[in-house]
Amino acid sequence: MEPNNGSQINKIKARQLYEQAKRLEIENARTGRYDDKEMVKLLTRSILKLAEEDQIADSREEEAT
Amino acid sequence: MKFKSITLSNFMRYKGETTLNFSCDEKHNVTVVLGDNTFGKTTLAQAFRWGLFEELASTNYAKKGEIVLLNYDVISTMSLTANQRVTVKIVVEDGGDTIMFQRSAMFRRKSLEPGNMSVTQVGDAELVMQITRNGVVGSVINNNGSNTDKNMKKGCVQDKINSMLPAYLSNYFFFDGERWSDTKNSKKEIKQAIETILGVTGFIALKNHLKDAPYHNVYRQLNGQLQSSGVPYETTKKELDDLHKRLEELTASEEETKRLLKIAEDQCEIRERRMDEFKDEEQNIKDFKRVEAEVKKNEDLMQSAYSDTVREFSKSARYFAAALLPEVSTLFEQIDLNGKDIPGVTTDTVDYLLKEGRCLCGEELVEGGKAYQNLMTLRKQIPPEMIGGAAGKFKELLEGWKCDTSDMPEALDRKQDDYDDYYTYRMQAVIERDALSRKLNRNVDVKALRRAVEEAKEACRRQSRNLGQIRGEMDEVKQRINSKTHYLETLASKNEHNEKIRRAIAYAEEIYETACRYAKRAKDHILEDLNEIIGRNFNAMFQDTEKYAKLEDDYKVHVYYRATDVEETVLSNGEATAVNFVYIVSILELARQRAEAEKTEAPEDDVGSGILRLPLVLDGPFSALSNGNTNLVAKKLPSFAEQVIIFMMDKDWQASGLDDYTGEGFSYHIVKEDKAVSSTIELRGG
Repeated sequence: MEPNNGSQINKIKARQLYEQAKRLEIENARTGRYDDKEMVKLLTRSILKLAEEDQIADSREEEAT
Repeated sequence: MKFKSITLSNFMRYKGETTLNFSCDEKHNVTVVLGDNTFGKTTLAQAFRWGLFEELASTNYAKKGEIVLLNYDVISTMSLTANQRVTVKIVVEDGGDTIMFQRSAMFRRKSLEPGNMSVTQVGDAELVMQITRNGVVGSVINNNGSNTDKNMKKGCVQDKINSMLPAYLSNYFFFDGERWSDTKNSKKEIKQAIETILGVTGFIALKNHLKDAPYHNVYRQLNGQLQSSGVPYETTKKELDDLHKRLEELTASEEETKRLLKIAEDQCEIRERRMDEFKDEEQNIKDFKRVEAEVKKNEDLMQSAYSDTVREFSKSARYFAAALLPEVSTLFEQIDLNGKDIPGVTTDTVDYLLKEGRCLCGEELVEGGKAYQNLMTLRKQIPPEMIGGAAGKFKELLEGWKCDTSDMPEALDRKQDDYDDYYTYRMQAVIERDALSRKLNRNVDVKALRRAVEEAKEACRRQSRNLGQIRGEMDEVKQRINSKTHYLETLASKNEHNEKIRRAIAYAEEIYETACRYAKRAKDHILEDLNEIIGRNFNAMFQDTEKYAKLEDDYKVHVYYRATDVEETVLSNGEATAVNFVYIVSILELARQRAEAEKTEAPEDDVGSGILRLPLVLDGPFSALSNGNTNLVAKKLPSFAEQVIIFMMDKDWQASGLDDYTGEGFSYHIVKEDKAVSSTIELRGG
């Protein structure tokens, strides 16, 4: 689903985030360290962090132009 | 991941320090330890289990709760106040890192009585690790966590072990040839193990955490952070919350029903197994009833034949009387059977004439005269009364009897034969019934067992129906959630906060889509791929022309006869172990194939596939196999696993042919003096 305001996500960053999330899940599948709730929290935090960085970068770009 | 070495200190049979180095070579990846029974091969396997997971397996000699970790020779020298330490140090290679894990525990002797070797553990076992990366040796990290490094929390060392060798897979990479067939793994456990080895579990968990889990998921968390105002938004949000709650309830119900279904299925399996034990008994009861009915039927037929015989015999008087007919006929030929001879003349008539002294013709009758003599002669010849009519009727009667009873002897013979036949059949049935009766186990109520199986099956069907209904409603609720969520998104106002959230949602969507793609690729065809490898390996290892092996939907390998496709249900211990062995190496082979395919086919997609490359530690793997099969199996081993560590008996070594794959300097021999309790390990030929 695309965001309503039409802002595009950075596919490369999305890919990196996917890799990071997957490694975390694989580790957790083997060790069972985190429960589902904690994993959702960890993932949500990572995704939000990326979105925020993206947003700041976009704003700077706009300001520069 | 490969094992580099293991060092045991005072561990069970090994007094003092004993180190084994393992071959990490790509081609010659086999390390072998030879030793006779009771020399300490299984102790080495136990050292791996304890060192890595603080677990022990029951053996032929002791249950796991009774196993004493501290060496007996060491115990015998201890006082009651001194402590002694048991240590297992395992060094592994993993992705360029060298990691040392060390688990140790302190023990104190409980009694000084001679022969009493019981000890008590003092405190908890300690676990530490040390990572060497790029030649730099890191600090020693304790499993209780680190004060200086926040990432090293309590349990971090055990986590590291589990991330390389998940504890629940230990039955797979620690293959115990003598006991593996006793390991009862459920379909769910086997499926999970395979999916973990093939790296599928991580994908599924990621999908669930991002979107698929009913209540706690990233997608929902992010949507919940979208801010807006207005009645439609609030109403829709509330409706959405209610739907999520309903979905959560349904998920809980689904879990509960799955649990109940599992219980019912387990119950059903247990009862069917129990029923199977009495399958012969059930058949005997059926046969007994059938034979008993046969006895009863023949008894009825005997009774009927007897009645017929008696009925026939009731005619016997007439039959024997009728036999007089020829004699009677001869006699009656002299009689006017129509009663026409001198009508009315009887002895009384003659006597009257003699008394009157005059004949009917008028001639005087004088004693001694001719007429008198003639009348006297006549008197002797005539009946006292008229017999002609009566005799005629008698003859008719006899002829009637003769006719009626003409077939009596044959009928009697027939009935007697029938009776004899039924008697024979009955006796045969009685013998069979008595034999079956002796075989019947009267202590077991097979009927009740059968009823219990049917009840358990009905319970399974009931829970399956419930599960179907719940899942149907879940699908409906999920659809409504999707539609409401979409509506809610359109209602959300465009503010800065929402923009960030929407961007995050888009990222979550992108990651979810990628995870779905990879999950599908990894999950698809597991059964088919595995089946192909299992079939091939079974043929290659056992060259069985009569049977073939197949992995079924229950995630268990079944063996069938090629000619009939009928399943071989009674496997010997050796066959069961062999089949499981094929199963395990086939899983590892598939993991190896997939990891290599990912590297060559799509290197850009390889983000750390999560496929586990496991070593195989085999304790007495060939003990249940013949020499021929040992050779076939053994020579396939090195290509299946990353590394093979085998503890086996001297006698199996020659047959295995593993010499060609064993790394130089990695062939050991366990040495033990007669009556000694401790063993030592030496390099073979060294």
